[in-house]
Amino acid sequence: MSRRRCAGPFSCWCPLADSDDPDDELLSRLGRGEPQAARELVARKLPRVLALAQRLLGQRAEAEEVAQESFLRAWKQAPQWRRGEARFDTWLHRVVLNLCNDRLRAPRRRHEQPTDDLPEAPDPAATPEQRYAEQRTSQRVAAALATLPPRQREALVLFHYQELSQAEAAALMGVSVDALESLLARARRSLRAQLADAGPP
Amino acid sequence: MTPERFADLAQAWGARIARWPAAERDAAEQLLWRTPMLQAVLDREAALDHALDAHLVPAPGTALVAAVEAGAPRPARAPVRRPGARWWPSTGWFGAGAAGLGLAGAAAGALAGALLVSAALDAAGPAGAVLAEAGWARTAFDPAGAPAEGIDE
Repeated sequence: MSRRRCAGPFSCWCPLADSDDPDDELLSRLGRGEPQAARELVARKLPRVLALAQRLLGQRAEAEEVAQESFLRAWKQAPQWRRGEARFDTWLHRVVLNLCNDRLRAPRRRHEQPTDDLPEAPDPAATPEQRYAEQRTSQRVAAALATLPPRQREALVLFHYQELSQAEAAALMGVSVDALESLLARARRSLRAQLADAGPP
Repeated sequence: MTPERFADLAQAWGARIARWPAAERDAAEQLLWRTPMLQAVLDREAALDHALDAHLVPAPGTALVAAVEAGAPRPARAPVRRPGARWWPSTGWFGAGAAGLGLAGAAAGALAGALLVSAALDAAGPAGAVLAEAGWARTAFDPAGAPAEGIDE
């Protein structure tokens, strides 16, 4: 797919520019200063950003800090966003990844105690027993994810949970698609073994 | 495509062939059609996919949403001039010079007016002096004032 930069003399939001970024129109409105556009961008991206950070870091409070910092950078960048150069979602993922990796590499990383805040069951009609079982399963998977080497966890989170394409996930990690396949295979093998060891929920 | 490669792909990318590398999807579909036993490989990976999907992350709370939205850029507003803040247009040193000339002119005018009043009082004599002391001194610009006529005298 061809991508070209807008050649307009004053605006980077040239409507003639080719782009397959689903966020383009929203970013254009944000660049024009529409307050509703900011709220829509938060509604669209914040859950995704928070989920990415929490699965990578394993800690809610840190994930919320990363989400806030990521959006501060997005607010600075969005009005000048150059349509067609990169997908905004990919750029935002890169920001989150960098912030998370900085924290994971920090020598004195804060260790948060697991909280009792369990995710809400996706099915509101589920019985209390079903909800409890779902929450326990969620906790087991989270614990298993936390034991993976960071690169394997990153590969799995980007491809499986964030549902990025192979090319996007590989590019974000700075590896080839073949290398991504290897990381994913090791991650899934390890998770399968851990979840099997933990037994039925 | 070999059964071994099929299994490798499933173990890396999961049970959904649609998410496998595009260049290998068709061959994988054909091999699966010819080799039904490979469905067991997909079922095994589907079970792991399902377990992974059970890991849920709570939605952002209202406090976090509010904090993030608070940092959003505000629409630009036209500058509002405060009343009395500046009463001449900002034109740099030229404007300051023009204002200075205006002030000098006003001072000169006031001085000339004072001289005229003084001359008129001298011409009006004691009555004018009494009026001046009583706070009723008229200037040369007062149409009802006698001093103007006195000046012509």
